[in-house]
Amino acid sequence: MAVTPSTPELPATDLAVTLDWRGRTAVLAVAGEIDLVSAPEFGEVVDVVLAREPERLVVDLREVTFFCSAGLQVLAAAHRRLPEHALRVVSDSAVTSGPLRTTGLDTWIGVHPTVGEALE
Amino acid sequence: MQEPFRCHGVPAVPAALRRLRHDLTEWVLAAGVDEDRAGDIVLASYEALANVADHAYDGSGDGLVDVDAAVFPDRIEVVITDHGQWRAPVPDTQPVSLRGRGLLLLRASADRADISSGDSGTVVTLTWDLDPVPDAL
Repeated sequence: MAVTPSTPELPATDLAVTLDWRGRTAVLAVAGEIDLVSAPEFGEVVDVVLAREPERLVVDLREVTFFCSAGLQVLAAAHRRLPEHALRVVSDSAVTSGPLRTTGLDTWIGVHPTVGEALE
Repeated sequence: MQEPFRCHGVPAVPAALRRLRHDLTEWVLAAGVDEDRAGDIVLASYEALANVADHAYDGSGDGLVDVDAAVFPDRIEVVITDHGQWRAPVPDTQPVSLRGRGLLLLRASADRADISSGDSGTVVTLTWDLDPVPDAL
């Protein structure tokens, strides 16, 4: 079931995504399950945002109900395309922070409990 | 004791694996496992399934996967069986590699993970220990 994204500039996906610009910082909020079905779509959305050349990208995963290596791969690819520490993740649950910490990706991609802290 | 979970001959394609994950999640929660541990069980199982999907695409398997899960007095066991070769992560020398995290997540999320690969396919056995239940008096 495709959900029309609430932000018109993003491609339609199975995930609910919203994009909010705070100056040159993009805040991308994603809701739903990020698995083999939706990870390619998640990757397309991130690509669209990165094409706008944000200085920083905050990915809010608090409404994500499932997260696995397919989602980590999208974040790792985004990290590579941004300046160091410019990619931050917002997570308040082990569903999303667990895989980032287990794999050590949190060394490169900051994990914050709120958008406000991720923006600091 | 809960009935075992049995789901055989599932095509290793994203949509079918998502449905299988939902069914397994429902079964694990019905078994009375707490939410965090249920998340670990489903994640490790799904990473094993994702690996099967990988080798289904490269033609080394028949693209079908079997999942069996059972609750024992001391443990929960999930067995994922396919008919292809286990795929080792493709080496990526960059500091933040793109691939190869599935196996790491699988091993970290299970109390024990045994991967045995033979000519006829690969069997991944994932085990989580349960707290012993005191005998009812």
